[in-house]
Amino acid sequence: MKKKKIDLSNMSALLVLIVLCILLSIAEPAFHSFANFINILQQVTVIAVLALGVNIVIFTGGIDISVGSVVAFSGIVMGKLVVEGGMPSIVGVAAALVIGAACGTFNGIMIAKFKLQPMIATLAMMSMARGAALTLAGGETITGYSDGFRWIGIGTVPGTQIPVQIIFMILLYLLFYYIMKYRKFGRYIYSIGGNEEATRLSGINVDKFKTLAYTLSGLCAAIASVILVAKLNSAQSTAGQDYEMDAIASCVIGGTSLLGGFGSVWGTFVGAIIMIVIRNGLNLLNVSANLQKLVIGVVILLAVLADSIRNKAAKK
Amino acid sequence: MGNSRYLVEMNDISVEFPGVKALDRVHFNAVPGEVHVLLGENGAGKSTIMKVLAGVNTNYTGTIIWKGQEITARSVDEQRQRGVSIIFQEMNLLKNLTVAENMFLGRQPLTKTGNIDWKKMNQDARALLDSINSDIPETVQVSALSVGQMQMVEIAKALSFHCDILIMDEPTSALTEKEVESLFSIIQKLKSEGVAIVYISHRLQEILKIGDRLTIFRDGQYINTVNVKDIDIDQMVAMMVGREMTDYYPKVDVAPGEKLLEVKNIRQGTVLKDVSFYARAGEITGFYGLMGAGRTELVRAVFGADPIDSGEIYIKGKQVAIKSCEQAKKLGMALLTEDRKNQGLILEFDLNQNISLPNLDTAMGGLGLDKNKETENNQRLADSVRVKTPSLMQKAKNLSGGNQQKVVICKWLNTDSDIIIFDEPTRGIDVGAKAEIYGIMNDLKKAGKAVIMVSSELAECMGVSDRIYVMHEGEITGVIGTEEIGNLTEEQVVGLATGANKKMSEG
Amino acid sequence: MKIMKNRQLKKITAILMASAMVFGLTACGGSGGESTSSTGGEGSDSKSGDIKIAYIVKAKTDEFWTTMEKGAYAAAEEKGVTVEFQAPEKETDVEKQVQMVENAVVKGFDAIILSAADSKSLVPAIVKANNANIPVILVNDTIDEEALEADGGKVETYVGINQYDAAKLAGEYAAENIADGKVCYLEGISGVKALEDRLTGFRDQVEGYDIVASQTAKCDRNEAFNVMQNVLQKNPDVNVVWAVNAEMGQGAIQAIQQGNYEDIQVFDFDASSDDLQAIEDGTLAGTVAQYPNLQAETAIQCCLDVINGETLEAHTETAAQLITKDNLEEYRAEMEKLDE
Repeated sequence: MKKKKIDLSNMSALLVLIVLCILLSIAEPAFHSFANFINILQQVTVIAVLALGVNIVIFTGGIDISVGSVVAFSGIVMGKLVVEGGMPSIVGVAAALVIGAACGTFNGIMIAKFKLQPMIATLAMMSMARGAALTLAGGETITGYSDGFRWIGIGTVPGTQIPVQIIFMILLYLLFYYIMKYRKFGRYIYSIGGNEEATRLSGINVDKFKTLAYTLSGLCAAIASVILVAKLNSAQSTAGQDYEMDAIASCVIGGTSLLGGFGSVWGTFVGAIIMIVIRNGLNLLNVSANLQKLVIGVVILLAVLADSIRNKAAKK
Repeated sequence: MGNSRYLVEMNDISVEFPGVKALDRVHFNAVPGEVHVLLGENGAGKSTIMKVLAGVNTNYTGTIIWKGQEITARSVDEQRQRGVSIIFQEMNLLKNLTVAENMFLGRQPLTKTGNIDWKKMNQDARALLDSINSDIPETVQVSALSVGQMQMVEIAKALSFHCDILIMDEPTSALTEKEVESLFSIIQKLKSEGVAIVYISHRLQEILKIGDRLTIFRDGQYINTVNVKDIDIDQMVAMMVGREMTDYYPKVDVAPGEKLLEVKNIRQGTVLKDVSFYARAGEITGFYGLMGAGRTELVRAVFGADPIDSGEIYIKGKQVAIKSCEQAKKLGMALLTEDRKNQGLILEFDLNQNISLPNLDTAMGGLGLDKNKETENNQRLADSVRVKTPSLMQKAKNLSGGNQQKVVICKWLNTDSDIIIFDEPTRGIDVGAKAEIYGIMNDLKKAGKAVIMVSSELAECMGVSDRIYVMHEGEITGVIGTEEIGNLTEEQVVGLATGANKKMSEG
Repeated sequence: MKIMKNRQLKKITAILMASAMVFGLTACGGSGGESTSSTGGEGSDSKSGDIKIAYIVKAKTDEFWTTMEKGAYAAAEEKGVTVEFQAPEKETDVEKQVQMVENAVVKGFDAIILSAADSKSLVPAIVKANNANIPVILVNDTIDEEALEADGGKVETYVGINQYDAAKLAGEYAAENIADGKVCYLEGISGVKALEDRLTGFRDQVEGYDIVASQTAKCDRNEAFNVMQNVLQKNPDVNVVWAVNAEMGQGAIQAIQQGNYEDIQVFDFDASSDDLQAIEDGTLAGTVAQYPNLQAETAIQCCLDVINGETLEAHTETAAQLITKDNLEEYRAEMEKLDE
């Protein structure tokens, strides 16, 4: 009874990651240094935090393609308030988080209450949030943040070389892991993805939890935005272009089913790292970006194929 | 052995699913022009062996001899070419296509220019439907049909493949009396043409009526093959469950308590027209009616699953407004839906997750969900209704129909509700499991719960219920009190259900 | 394809009709009787005086373009013409830019100023403008001349700096001041000729340098941060960086600062306000200013010249300059004038 069940859906992604790391270590000695390990974790932060939120939406059987635009919108609002409005950084951060959560909640209400298809509702938000960012800032780059704020993006843990953003990311992942595995909320989210009607008929307020999933996705986008602005010392209306695709790809590589109901928080983490490791490794090898895209595509296919082959085998 | 009298002989067939031995060296044979009934409890392996023969389940061991030659069933197409046609228990129709399109899916007749020959396709479909005396229009979308009509389309489709053996897996579970009659005449016609028919059903009366030979499985084991004319219902049941079933509908005497649920003048579009009823503690309230009478719609509306236009609901005498299932659950109601697979369970999830869902509080420890506590609680519930499963980690889809229904019962036992509504609790479930479910309902009644049961099986409804409401076309057409149940004949009750008569008060 | 275009046409007509109705309604709501005659009067005026120019660039999301926009409107006011300044959401959205040119042709502008997002894809749209007798002036980005000729299209002139020569300014400065260079190139988007010219313009001046990496960072700041971090991981001895736009230059600077690397001379292109600040802070060695406002003014003048029947040189060059800490203040003063 107490035998630990090994979640195989994480395994194939982890296996891909291990193989990738071994191959890259052989091809490029600079790859397996501690400093590079830290670089990879730092580079993965933004995508990993985005993917965390998108992942929860995908668990419910939905999708959120607005997160890249929400990154830009919440970042611009923060930049405007802090740099141009002269407000304290903490107010700017709070405003960004509120904006992100609000965009997500709006998505959620459109989808849960008004029954819009998730792809359509978030497509609209993708355009609206980007448009709002462009309207507010145009082509302007909003720079000039306090050192205290920039610490979020470039500060290191005292006495080490470890950037604090990595700590934020890991704490966030631990929190979400706990919520998804040990709180009722997590169970409800998976159940909605598994069979929405059965969940509703079990007396669960499906609309509420679906909306909350999108709220969390928007919130994660805003957190990613805060980290990004702090890291680059700039808020831009063009930030976060195509990030939604990286986030979704991370979830898929990590074994999350786009049909909903299945996937794990850590699988997605591994998925995001795989994407960054490929870019990092190919940079080190001085391979052109065009080829990087190709390789990432192939890896997505391999990871998903591995899953589907394993599922087939399990059925037999 | 091996003589060519048989159309097909299957020997020592075994099939294993992960963790379950579905079939253990069983035998089956069929001769041309007979109706061969396969009987057994749910999970006995009836559908499994037929899926082997039809080429759906290719992962088997054992031998199949087809017309005197040993073969391997490798695919549905190959078996269909040989002459095996199967009508599945689950509907395989595409809802957004027309009846004719469904019947000729993937093999539509073409014109000379390679376009679909709609005229010919519709004509052929019409001819097939006529041959089974069905008046279903061939050009309507399947989504507009009733479940029974869909079943008829499936049958017509199966007939369009010229076959030597036709497998029908519970063909009548969703059919009306009239449709059953025409199905039986089709079966007679096919028999006379030399087609072997494998008939899987739980309706023992039907088996006596049309069966020639009978093969019985129990728990994946072969029990016996007998001639139907040599056997009666009691013997059939005994062989199925492995013991004598003496009291089929055990009734328990409990003095009814207060009205836990009272519904007044509920209306919903054209489906529910001014329906009122009540359910008392310590009583099983039955709802009988034909398909489409509005019984399922009624209980769904009361449970908040669908909105109502007007009407009042009282719980323990207090008027309540129920707008969602969540509210209904909080008010102490439970609904076990008619459609277990799509509405009752999350098939891909394990039993633990399914049972805990309506009330996760029972699984919460100090730091959040506690797997051990959850398993302990759920195991206790599962044991109390005797769910047969190797472990609660098993996925719900791997269980038989009866066990799935018991899992759904566990879900709601977990909430400790006072008003428990069972919608068709025994549909597609074997006799053994049926009796167990009646037992559970009686236990709930003894515990002072108000139990509501919706049923299409008259014998069951009259045998189990303390009071019965009969519905016809969205209205209550009959109210039958406790004392009357024994006195009314089945014909009288059916008369109410068809709207021929009305009887609006008890006694 | 044809259906697509028809649809677009329909959409445009619908929008035009809708706006016409709105105008009509306001006209009615205003002073009913007189409006007819006065509209007529304006109509006859427009031919001689009111020249309308569509100014289509690659994006408005970058300081370079916003400066150009300011310059364009300032010049338009000065010269008494109407300019409609437009751009797709992002530089890589070539298709949207093609549509904008096509729409401008349909709307009947008197001239089109274009900064092509792709050196080949815009050719058919230019040919359409030619067929409608609308002169096309290129600004900042050139087009593939062979492709243009093959399709029988023509442009009046190309207004802009010589990208190669401009990048050369930075390359020469680097060659003079830094011996034994180990250089990292941050490339732009492949297929954009201006960006490619900037790369070779610099590279050809520093042939003695070791090229330790040449990677694209898609003109994006975060991408440049990551790429620079990765490059430094393997080659901590990099001492020169050439980024072909300002965003990538800034990303590289952030990565260098975070890694506490010293003595790396970063050069980039565009002279954004971040760049100017970075030069002041000493984190950026030099940036090439291409005076987008000047380009805009020149382009608009070219339009007027063409409409007046003049024939222009194939390349109307505008000035570029390398900004370093030595001439930073002069440049700032010049730019501030524009904002007034």
